[in-house]
Amino acid sequence: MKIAIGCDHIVTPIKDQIKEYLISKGHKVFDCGTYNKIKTHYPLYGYEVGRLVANKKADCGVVMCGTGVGITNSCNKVKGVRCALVRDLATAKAAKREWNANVIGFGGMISGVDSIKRMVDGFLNEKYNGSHQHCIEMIDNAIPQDNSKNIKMFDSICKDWENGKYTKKTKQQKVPRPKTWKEFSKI
Amino acid sequence: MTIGVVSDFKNIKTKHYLIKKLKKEGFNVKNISTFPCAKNCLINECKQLMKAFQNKKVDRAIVLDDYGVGSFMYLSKFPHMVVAEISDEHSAIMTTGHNNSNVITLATKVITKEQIVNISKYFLKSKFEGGRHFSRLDMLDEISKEGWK
Repeated sequence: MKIAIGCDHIVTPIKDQIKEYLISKGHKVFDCGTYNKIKTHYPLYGYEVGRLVANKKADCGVVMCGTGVGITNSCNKVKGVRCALVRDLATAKAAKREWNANVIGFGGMISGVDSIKRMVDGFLNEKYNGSHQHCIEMIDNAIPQDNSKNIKMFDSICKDWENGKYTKKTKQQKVPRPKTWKEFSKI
Repeated sequence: MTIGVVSDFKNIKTKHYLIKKLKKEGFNVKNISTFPCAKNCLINECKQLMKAFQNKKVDRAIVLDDYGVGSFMYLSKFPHMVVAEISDEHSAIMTTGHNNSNVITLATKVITKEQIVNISKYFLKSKFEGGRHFSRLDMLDEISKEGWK
């Protein structure tokens, strides 16, 4: 499978371990970032995973941040994404089996890496059983306009961040942009 | 602060238990429901919650369903909604502190009703830290603006 993966700077080492795990299982992995410990923002990478999944460049996605809440919300705000935030195998399987989740999310500060590997496997191996079709339609139609194609939308806020607007005028390092922007510049 | 509590039909009993316990703690709690259409689907119950948020009848909310998944997927689609599908106390505290979450979705097939009450209390008693976290909330708003042009 083609899997998009994303995280924020709090859990980069965990994301890297999961990425290597997925590659070892034979999957093609698109690493949407981030890539190091430079302070950055989960919406950049959550949106990018959502963009690739919604536009069918990836079959599914895996996202994580501290609790997993920020990055999964970023992903779910993309039309066409059905992301679940999970902490146990039963929920990871149910998200796919009953709700046809196409992205799975984790709290890297909540779940250990071995547990995350098991939940990722559970999610990938489960099949959607046709449940909740009417509800899933309402989820898919909740956002009126396709918002899955604009990689420039965060430019202004990133600039403000780097200039210290959110950090009491203390300038910040340039935020790493998703490397997948190069391969998937136009979708 | 008014707290909305929502559930699907199967989990009405746990909803009433949670409402009773939160009221006992002094919270101002509102039962959000499409009653008497009590067998309405989960997403229609969540639609009622969105109406309550939009009409400023509730400030924060707790949603109960089997796995917390469906309600999370739907509610997090909306502008200004930050939804936490969680099952532990640390997440309840941190998601309020860093994400300014306004909804948690809790899984009745995963955690006991006592733990549902416990996690809800941590969620409701925690405070948003602001500061650098506003940058992320502003970015979430940008994603939503594109979807609601």
